[in-house]
Amino acid sequence: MDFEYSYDGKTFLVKIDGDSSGGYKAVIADKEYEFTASNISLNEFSILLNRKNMKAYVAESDDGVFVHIEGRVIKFKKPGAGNGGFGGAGGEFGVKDEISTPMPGKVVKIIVSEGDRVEAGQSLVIVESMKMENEIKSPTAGEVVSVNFKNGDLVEPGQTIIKLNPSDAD
Amino acid sequence: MFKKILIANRGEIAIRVMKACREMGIESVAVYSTIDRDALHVRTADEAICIGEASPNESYLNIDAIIKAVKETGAEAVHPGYGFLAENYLFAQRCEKEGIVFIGPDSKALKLVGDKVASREVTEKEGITLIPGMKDKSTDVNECLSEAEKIGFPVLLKASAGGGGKGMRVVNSKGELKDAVEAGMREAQTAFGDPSVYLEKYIEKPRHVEFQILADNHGNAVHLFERECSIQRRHQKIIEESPSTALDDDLRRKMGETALKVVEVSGYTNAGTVEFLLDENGNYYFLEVNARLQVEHPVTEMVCGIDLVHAQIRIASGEKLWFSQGDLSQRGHAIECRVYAEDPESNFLPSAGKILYMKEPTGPGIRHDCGVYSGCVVSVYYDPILSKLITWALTREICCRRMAAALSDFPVLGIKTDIEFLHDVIVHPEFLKGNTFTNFIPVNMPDWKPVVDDEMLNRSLLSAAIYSDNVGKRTVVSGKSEEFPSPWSTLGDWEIGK
Repeated sequence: MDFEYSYDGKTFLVKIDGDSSGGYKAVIADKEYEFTASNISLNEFSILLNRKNMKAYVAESDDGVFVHIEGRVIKFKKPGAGNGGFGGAGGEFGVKDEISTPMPGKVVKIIVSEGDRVEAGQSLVIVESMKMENEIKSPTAGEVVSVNFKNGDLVEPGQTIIKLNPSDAD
Repeated sequence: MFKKILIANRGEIAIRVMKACREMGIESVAVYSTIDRDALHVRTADEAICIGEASPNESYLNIDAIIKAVKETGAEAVHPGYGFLAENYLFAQRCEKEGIVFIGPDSKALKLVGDKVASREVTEKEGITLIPGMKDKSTDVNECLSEAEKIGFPVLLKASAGGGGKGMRVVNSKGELKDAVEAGMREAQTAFGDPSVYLEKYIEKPRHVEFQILADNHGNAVHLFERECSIQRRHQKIIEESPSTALDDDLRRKMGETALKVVEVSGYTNAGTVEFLLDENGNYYFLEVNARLQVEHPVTEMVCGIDLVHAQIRIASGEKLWFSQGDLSQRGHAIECRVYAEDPESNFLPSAGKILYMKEPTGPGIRHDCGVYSGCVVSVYYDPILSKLITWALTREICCRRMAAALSDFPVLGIKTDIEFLHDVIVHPEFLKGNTFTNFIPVNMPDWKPVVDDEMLNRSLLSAAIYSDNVGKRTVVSGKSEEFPSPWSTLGDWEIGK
């Protein structure tokens, strides 16, 4: 079987072939791997690769596959999945002209108004989530085109709180 | 002894208290909000009762609803945990009026120590050294401004009514003060229902050292030595340990005596914590009394061998302390790491969502006080603490190694957590040397990112592919699509005995 995953903006193709006794052959970008895998559950298994033992834990959501290996968690996006909740302003997958929050919360203070000129790094709005206030800063210099929420409003991830028109000088 | 206790809290601390109740033969009652029906604390209790909507003001902070639940279930006592109503003297007062035992200090002592300003006055009179600060709490920006100039910048802004770093900010100059006071007041209002703030001199490069106290209702009090809680982000502790690497026997004895003095002059009973800032020259300043069971109480339990929740319940039921100061000693070393649903890569922003899979670390000297499980949803309504991982060993070095190993084998998938960050703090050379100051994280871990090399990436890709391959081959067994295929469904035709 072939599987595609993307990580950090790059897409990886994994060709994998398993036999009935837990033996596997796999290819990632021309590099060949031969190993055995033993499942404890669907989510937890051990891989023996050149006698080296690795414990892996894997789970999937609608948009990605999470892997825990050697104390690190890596989230792979499935091909065709959207930004998957990483839509915060200035975030890795953020859209620069639409300011949103990565998690649900309450708008406590809108700092700017329509027509305001803002600098990169300037605070635009304060959103409270899980009892902490978080200042959302402008990812870019530009002009505030619209403010879609007011103080006290509840906001969901991905909803555009403020729309900016980035200036070319930035 | 009580027959039934209601736990007015949720998450890991509610479960911690319920387990103590079970060990003592006491029935436990959980309270829960409408979105918490699936929460672990509800599953752990003997009885559970819904007290209102998701918003804390409607449920876990709703005094009327909680008192009603106590009456309906016939509980004789309430354990408030930490946070929520734990340090609300009005709640303690209401319990007293209704004939319910509040497991904590009485409302008078709670009111005194809960008010940072009033408690400063009382302790200052007794010659206990304090950090220079405002004489009174305030909700007035201009008053704060003139007080800040008197104290001298930088100043530390705190919520008058509570702890946990909520509303707390360092203000470096006059220009920053107005915004900081306003934001601090809003946070204080949301978290504690009281917007009052308070300013004090900010001491640079200090350690946070606190003493655990137990005091009965008969005038006996002991301290259970110190915890060092210098590793903080957003002014909130994330790693605590006992003993502190900064204390020798002499300083430990002096600070312990001061802590007991604070308890004595405040008329404080039950479990409490006296917090100090310790500077590099061994000067220590009294900060405040935390009038509750602390999040980090397990490290004390591990080194002292005393169960603090058992002790709280026994003291609240009227028992005299069953040991004295001379009976207590510290054995070995304990460290606690707080596991939060948050993203260390973006300023520790809380991260809500569903935990797709998790597995708790186990082993000798490993304790995990946990409030979540695989498949549960972490809500945006409450504090993002998931659990606390505690390790104990005879030496600090082994304790650190044990913690690092436990953190590496602790998968929590589906939401962001601070587990990888905590691991990297524990293995940091400065942490291992015991150079722990409250500015540890900005100084030693700026712009932290988890290191992922190509080899690890490839191994992760292999793991993902094995998983996806198995999912593809998975058969549906008895309608549960998440089950791994049972041998009974894959063996084919056979008969027993043949």
